[in-house]
Amino acid sequence: MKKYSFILLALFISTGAFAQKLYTKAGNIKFVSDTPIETIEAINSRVACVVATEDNTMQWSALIKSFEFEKALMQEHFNENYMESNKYPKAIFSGEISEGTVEWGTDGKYEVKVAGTLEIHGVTQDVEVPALVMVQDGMISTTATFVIKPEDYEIKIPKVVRDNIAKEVTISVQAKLESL
Amino acid sequence: MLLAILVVGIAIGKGVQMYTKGPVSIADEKVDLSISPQSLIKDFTTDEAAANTKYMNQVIQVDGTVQTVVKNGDQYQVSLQTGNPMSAVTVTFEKAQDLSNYAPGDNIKLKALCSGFLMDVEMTNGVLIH
Repeated sequence: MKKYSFILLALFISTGAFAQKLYTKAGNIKFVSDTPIETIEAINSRVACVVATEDNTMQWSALIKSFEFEKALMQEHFNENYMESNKYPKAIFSGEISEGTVEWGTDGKYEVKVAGTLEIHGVTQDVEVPALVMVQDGMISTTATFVIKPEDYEIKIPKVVRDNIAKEVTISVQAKLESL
Repeated sequence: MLLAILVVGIAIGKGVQMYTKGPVSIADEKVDLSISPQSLIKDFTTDEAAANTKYMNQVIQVDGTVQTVVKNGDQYQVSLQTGNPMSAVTVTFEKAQDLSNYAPGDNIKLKALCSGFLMDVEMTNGVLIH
């Protein structure tokens, strides 16, 4: 009886370790637009993410108004003129690990690719980005860096500031995940 | 001639000042509306689009009970209890705001701008009301 109880307990623990939902409400997204004229950066530290480890699917959501800029005028133009954040308040990525595997219960660094759809400014595009998942002592964190083109999301940049804003913007994502 | 140079100089100075101005503070802004964290969550979970229209771009006063206090970089983030264990009202405070004396269970009165709803109702530019 003791033996069966032990096996059942082990099964329960292993199921719990490998089939779970991980989440955060406090992920970070930073974007950088770099041109010879100026570098524009913004940070959002309230990004939500849910990962289902049983099928490696995930969803990331960020509120556009939660991006903070160094300069007030940039933040105002970003929200009102470019991103139209009253009309399109969120950016959403839905996808799954498309290349590579993650042993969610085993310490290690896992280089993967994540594919899915990215909706920004009301426009949805297919994307595939490299990502790194780190598992250490039960703590799971993830990072990814990729590039998007504002024009792919119908973000219109006025001619007068076109040279100030990069044609390709670098996005960096970082999150520490915990069990839901 | 001197007057023209002076006017152009002032105009350029004003432009540079506007362009380089740091993040806006709502410390001196008048409160547009007051609401409890419970009502705010209820409005967003009932009809998110209507709540976005109602609360975004408003200076909102919220009186509530602290659930968590976290310092993220140089900004405090405070989550307020809503009665729903999965959804809080979370306020990211302005950098100058010191919340080191606040702990879970404390009452708090603040004003902030609403950014919208993810898992929590998210607010930015938080300022304590004493």
